[in-house]
Amino acid sequence: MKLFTLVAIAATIEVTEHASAQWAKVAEPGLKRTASGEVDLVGSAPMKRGKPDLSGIWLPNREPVPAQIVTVEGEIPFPHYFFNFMADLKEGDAQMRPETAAALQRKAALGGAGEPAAHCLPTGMPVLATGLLPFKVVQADSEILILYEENTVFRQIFLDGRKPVDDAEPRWLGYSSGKWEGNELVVETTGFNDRGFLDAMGHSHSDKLRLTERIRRKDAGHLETQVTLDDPTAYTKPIVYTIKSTLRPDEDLLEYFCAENEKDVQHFQ
Amino acid sequence: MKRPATIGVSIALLLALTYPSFAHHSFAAEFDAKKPMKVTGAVTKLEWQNPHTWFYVDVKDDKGELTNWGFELASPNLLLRNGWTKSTLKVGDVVTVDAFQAKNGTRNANARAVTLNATGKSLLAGSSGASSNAP
Repeated sequence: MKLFTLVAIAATIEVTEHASAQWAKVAEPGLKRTASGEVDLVGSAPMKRGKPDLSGIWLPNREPVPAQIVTVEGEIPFPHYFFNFMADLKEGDAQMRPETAAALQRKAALGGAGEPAAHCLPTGMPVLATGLLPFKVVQADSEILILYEENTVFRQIFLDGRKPVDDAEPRWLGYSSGKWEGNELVVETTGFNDRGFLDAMGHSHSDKLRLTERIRRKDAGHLETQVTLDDPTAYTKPIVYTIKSTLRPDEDLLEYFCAENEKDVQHFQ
Repeated sequence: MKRPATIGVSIALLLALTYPSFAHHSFAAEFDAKKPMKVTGAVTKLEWQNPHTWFYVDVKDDKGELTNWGFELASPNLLLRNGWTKSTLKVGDVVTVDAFQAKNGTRNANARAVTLNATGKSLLAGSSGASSNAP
């Protein structure tokens, strides 16, 4: 009888596995849940060794796309700063240097054919964290890893006190080191190349860009990253804005290999 | 210094309203928002792969001859989280597609809405009504 029960259970598991197109959802430990099993997104942020634990899969918040903007994705809402990282600036808040403005106009004239992502290159920072696909934060004591689903790329944020790299070999996502200030993780990133875009519109930055992120897990389900872009070669003043993301509990990252079926470039005029 | 500031921000705002978006690439680099099309035909092939899902449909042209059109959708990662699977569209399904044609005159287009004729189900319906944080 016992044997029959085991066989029956095994058969059920097999059916379940075949029925699911991906991993079945597995409840993430360490998150407070309601009686129905939902994660309490406004509960207190989980802690790890006295610091907020930023770990989890996060998705940038979205809003409807203005009617004038046509997207490849149709009616799917987009994150606020995806199109224009200067979306909230008022007149005089900051300005592009003439060469930055000219570069933007040249890119617009190309209709976006020159953007890195279209050629399966990294989108750039920090637009990577304002896209449609999630990212996963893995927090260890000595470093924090951020795994971005888009293009399957990663960042390593070292927490061991290392200093910015002098005369760095340029990188798309730069060199990041972080430290805790109270409950905020402050991440400094330098050593960028000058090929990344700051947003989908194509605002550029120079290799002198200094990116500061103040990352705060406001509660269990909400992550806020205050970004300060300081790039005096390209912009007259530092530009500050806050990217908001929401936890996607019990999910996992998917593969994304851009070269698998890239066929757009051959259609560009 | 007042004047350059005005120019800089004005350019940004103007482009924000006119410059289409990308996830993998800009809409404007490939497709023409002024060339909409609506066609019906049978699915001949599905490529459920990144960075974009493509499907192909045999469409009757003006002379009654079948021509094969390619239609681009979002990435499978986005579609999966929007309720699609790799079997949502199958070879042989008759579909009606609303799309924007490629700028370069080839038989390629960007699909905005796909309706399964057998059931009348619109496969992209619901995306606009999704809550702001829903994937």
